[in-house]
Amino acid sequence: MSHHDVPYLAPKDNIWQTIMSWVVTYDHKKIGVMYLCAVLLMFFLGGVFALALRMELWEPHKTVMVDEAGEVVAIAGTPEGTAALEAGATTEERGRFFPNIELITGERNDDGSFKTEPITGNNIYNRSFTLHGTIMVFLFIIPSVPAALGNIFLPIMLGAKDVAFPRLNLASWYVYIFGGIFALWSLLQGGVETGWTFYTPYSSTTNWGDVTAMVLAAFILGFSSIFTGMNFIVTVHKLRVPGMGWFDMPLFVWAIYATAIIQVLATPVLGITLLMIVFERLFQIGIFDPALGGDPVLYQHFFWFYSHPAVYIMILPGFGIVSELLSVHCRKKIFGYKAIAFSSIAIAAISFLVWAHHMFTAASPAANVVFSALTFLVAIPTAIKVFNWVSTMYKASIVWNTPMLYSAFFLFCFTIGGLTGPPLATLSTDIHLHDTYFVVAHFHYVMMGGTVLAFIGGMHHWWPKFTGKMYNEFWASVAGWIVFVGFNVTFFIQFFMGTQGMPRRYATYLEHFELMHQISTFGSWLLGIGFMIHLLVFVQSLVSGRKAGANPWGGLTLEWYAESPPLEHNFEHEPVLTHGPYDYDTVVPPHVDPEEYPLPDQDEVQRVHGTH
Amino acid sequence: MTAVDTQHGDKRELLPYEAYVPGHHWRNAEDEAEGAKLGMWLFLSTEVLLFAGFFCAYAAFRLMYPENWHSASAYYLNWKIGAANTVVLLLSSFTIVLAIRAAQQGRRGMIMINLIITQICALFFLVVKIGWEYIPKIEKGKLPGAWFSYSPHGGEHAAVEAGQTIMPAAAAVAENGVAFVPGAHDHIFLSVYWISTATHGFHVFVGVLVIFWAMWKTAKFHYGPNHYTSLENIGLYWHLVDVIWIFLFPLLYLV
Amino acid sequence: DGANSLQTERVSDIETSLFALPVDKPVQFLMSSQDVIHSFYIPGFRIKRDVFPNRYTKVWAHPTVATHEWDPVSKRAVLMEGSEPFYLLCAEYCGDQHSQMGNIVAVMPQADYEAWLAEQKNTDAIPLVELGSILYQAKGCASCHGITEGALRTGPTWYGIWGQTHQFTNAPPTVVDENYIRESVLNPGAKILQGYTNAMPQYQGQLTDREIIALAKYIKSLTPEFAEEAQQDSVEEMEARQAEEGEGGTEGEGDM
Ligand code: HEA
Ligand code: HEA
Ligand code: HEC
Ligand code: CUA
Ligand SMILES: [Cu+2]
Repeated sequence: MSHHDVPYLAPKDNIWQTIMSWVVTYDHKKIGVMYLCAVLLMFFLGGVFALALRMELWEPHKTVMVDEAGEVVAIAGTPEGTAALEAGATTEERGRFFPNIELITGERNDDGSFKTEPITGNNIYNRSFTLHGTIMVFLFIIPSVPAALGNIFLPIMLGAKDVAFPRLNLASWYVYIFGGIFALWSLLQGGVETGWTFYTPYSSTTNWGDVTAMVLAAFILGFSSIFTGMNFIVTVHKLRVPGMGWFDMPLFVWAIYATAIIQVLATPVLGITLLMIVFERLFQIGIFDPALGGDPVLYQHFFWFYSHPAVYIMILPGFGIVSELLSVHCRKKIFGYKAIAFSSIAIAAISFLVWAHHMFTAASPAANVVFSALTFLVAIPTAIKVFNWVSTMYKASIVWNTPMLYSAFFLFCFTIGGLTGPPLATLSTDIHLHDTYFVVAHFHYVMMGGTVLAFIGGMHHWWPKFTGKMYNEFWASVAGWIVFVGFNVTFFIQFFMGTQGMPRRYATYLEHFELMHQISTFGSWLLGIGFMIHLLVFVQSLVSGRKAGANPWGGLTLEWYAESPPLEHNFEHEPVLTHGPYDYDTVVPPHVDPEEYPLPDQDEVQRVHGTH
Repeated sequence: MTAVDTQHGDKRELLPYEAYVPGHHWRNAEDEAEGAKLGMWLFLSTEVLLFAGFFCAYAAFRLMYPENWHSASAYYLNWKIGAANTVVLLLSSFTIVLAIRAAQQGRRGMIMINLIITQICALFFLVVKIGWEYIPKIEKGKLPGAWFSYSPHGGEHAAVEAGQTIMPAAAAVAENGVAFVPGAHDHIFLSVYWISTATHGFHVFVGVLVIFWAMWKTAKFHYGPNHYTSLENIGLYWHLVDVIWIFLFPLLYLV
Repeated sequence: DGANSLQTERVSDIETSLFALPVDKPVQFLMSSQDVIHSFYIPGFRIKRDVFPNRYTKVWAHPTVATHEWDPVSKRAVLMEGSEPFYLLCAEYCGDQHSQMGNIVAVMPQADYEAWLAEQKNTDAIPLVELGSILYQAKGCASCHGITEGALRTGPTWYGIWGQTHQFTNAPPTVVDENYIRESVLNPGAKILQGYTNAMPQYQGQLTDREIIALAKYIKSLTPEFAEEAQQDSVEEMEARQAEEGEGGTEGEGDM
């Protein structure tokens, strides 16, 4: 037995060697596992901020997040304001000197005007949603599926020993950590309160916390994302096992491949945009600063040119996971393989043409019409996927375990999230809905209800493979249901808030939204409980879980040919491809007793599905 | 390196490039080289997109302030310096191709000579850029954005006051015998100039470092007729740096 | 039309504590911001438009339902029986006060609206220095004059000039005092400050007497040594006028 034939998780001779075998590893699986731990940590951190901000929104006026530090010391235009400006307050602070003395509370006087309350800042709240958004987007969801699950499974699914550039892969991990440290530094400096979109000139002039560090963090994280993307593209092109054509690849690989293309082509634009903000803050170059003749709308174009494609960086891997999960747990050939594969590429392509739908209230009406029309196009390839998934489930022998449960949750939530996309893309409706809770609900339904649910489903699906342990099915499904219910309670009501005109990023709000906000906050507690149980299930599995066989679900893709957990070089011998990834009606899955896995009656299969 | 050259009969240790084995996860060296090149092309596409950001900013502001753009370019930038730098970069692109050709032919000396010429060109570019452009500009206060000074000798900065760019009353200045009235947005032109040329200059600098590395590898016999992928990739990178300059030069110096 | 052109900042400004519109009359809002991007949002009207610091944006509305009426006794616009107010909100994150940048939109019958407007123009209740600071923005002085040390704009800064002796290109040196400021405002060309051109518009007929005094007091307050004195002047003037009007003359903050 050569030393490469041990499970990749096996400890080395001593603790020091074991540690080194992780921190300087070129093994894609170990890098993937390290990514997985990091992104989960970030998800919890982001989640804690989410729970905190939901807590603040329990009541219309400020409750838990009243901070003295944010107190407005002076009113613009008054002598005190001028004095404060003299006493070292720079133009950057101007943003703080809003000229209103009366601050509005939720309550109204009998003449309908608002009651007022002493001025306290909303900074803590503002920082909470900014950090929540920034962490969730840049540190959690973008690296989540590709860099964690993708890293672990993409090479194995291709029958490769590793990704194309293992050193670049490790570099990507360290760049991620480096970026994370910048973000943490910014957090310790007091955080950021610009919103995750860093709109100028606010972001280039505010002096709360350390915006520069946070923007640099996102810039650095972009490199990590580019490295991962480049690596996956080359791996898919060059390292498929002999005999595996493009259409023999699992759909997860297709999805990651499409994602990687976007990562490579969109991230540099974000990079340069963020870099310009840094220059703006450090050298006041004025490109985005209207005070110097610059153009803040240009910033928005740059930002969304990246960030719209980025939402498909977030969702495409989720699509990939769901395609795998549905097929395996329905024990059925995926419906419309090629359509799903190509629709990923189509989504990637269209995603570059729609960015200005985030700017309908800012940009010129003529351009808006074009972007509105282009945005509708995205619904077509996405619809293709949704319908194919539903068709796959049709008349299938579904096993309702946790991964399957999550796939179904995904289908439900993502479709709601996706269907609320077109109303936002419609110029006339978006004028009203833009920057309201309708948008907040939309993007949580697609990011949380889409990607996160798929991610958790994928975690359970592949958990036995990469840890070698089974998890407790009962408690995992209980947690799954709590998450599902909690999620819908939290966010469904927000669609109504949005249509009734509740703007987002509001620390205080009109009192008639109170009940709806309370329902939403209640839902977030359910989410917290659900995720806690999931965490405990995972910990229990690691500590005392049953040992997993090589193929607990009867999957047909190549990772199920490897042992659980896989060997250091994935396979003892390079696998030989004898069937397609989803040929459930003709193939007995590997490591499964053929006695227990009778093939379906071919006549029956023909009758139901016709001939493929 | 105990392997033996069987082809030529005489017993000698194989040179590094002859003894090269591909990474364990590659099926053969050819796949590895192709993979590396594909990776390089992907990297180059990210670079193009990165600079595309600058070009978009350039286009946006040129549309906003067309006349000011023209006058600022004519006044602050000397096309002769830019042209000289263009020529040396083009030359260096040519010599790096010759270096790759030499590697294919196994002529180590020629690789070295051509890399040295490339390196001289690159350094020439940087020296001209910094010595003849950046330093005089810094001295005269022709800095980006808020640091920009309208006075010909530096000093007062454009004040950052809400909604206003402010010029001293006596704004008309003459330099090089050319009477010139500065435009209200010269500092934006210079912002674009500085960030794009500085980022490009940084790429040239990185190029210099990797070419040094290539020279070291040449010296250590790492490049041979069938093994010169990293040299080729460096060449690709260098061409990109060159191409970007070819766009920057007319856009900034010749408008 | 007073409400037609406004800067969003002013929406929440003390100048108008209500955002009033006449019913059955189309209005267009021409908007520009003084600091960062905001967004003008009246959910009840289904309108939203971003407001930028470097450009003007427009949005229009045609209110068809009156929600408020003018109460001449309390000099307030009050909510009509059984109606719900419209709200004006800021929909683009703009910092600390983003969620508090709102106001009530009071849609009033034309006559009530005019009564309200007339009352708004009555600035008697605002102390001089404060009024000066409002006028500084409202009358456009801010576009040419800074209020910080050495602020460079088309015109000279107002910081620290009170009591200084200024040099002119076309007149003998003069000390900056109330009279000089009055002259500068009403007839800027009479004394042109050295280093500047005669770029300032005349404000003859556009400012009331009290407003000119207010501007002068505000400028005075911008010179640190005189800041306190200016405030005092301001308070004294207020008291003097109140004494004139007798008891219960000016209402509190209510509906300035
Ligand atoms: C995972 C991330 C993700 C995904 C996948 C999507 C998917 C889509 N999004 Fe979303 N979006 C975000 C994340 C995402 N979005 C985020 C984060 C924001 C806010 C950013 C911020 O401001 O902070 C946002 C904001 C946002 C806006 C701007 C709103 C505003 O600020 O005013 C718009 C407007 O066009 C939009 C549109 C769409 C559309 C059309 C899709 C489409 O891709 C959806 C396609 C899917 C379907 C349509 C459902 C499946 C199809 C069928 C079942 C077939 C039948 C359907 C039809 C015939 C229509 N999104
Ligand atoms: C992947 C993306 C992602 C995810 C998963 C989430 C998840 C959640 N989000 Fe997030 N959200 C964003 C991305 C995301 N969000 C973005 C981009 C914004 C915009 C920001 C901006 O405007 O700039 C936003 C804004 C946003 C708002 C609007 C704020 C505002 O505009 O004022 C709200 C309000 O309800 C909200 C709520 C939530 C909630 C309740 C969850 C929940 O689903 C969270 C559930 C997770 C947990 C509850 C974690 C579990 C933790 C525990 C149980 C505690 C235990 C702790 C330890 C063991 C350490 N989010
Ligand atoms: C279009 C530009 C512009 C506007 C608007 C403007 N000013 Fe001026 N102002 C100038 C210039 C230029 C000067 C210097 C030349 C001069 O003295 O006339 C000046 C000078 C002055 C001075 C003399 C300052 C000194 O240091 O001696 C005062 C006082 C003044 N302005 C008040 C005002 C007030 C009050 C307003 C608004 C109601 C106003 N200005 C609006 C351009 C402007
Ligand atoms: Cu103004 Cu938000
Ligand atoms: Cu989008």
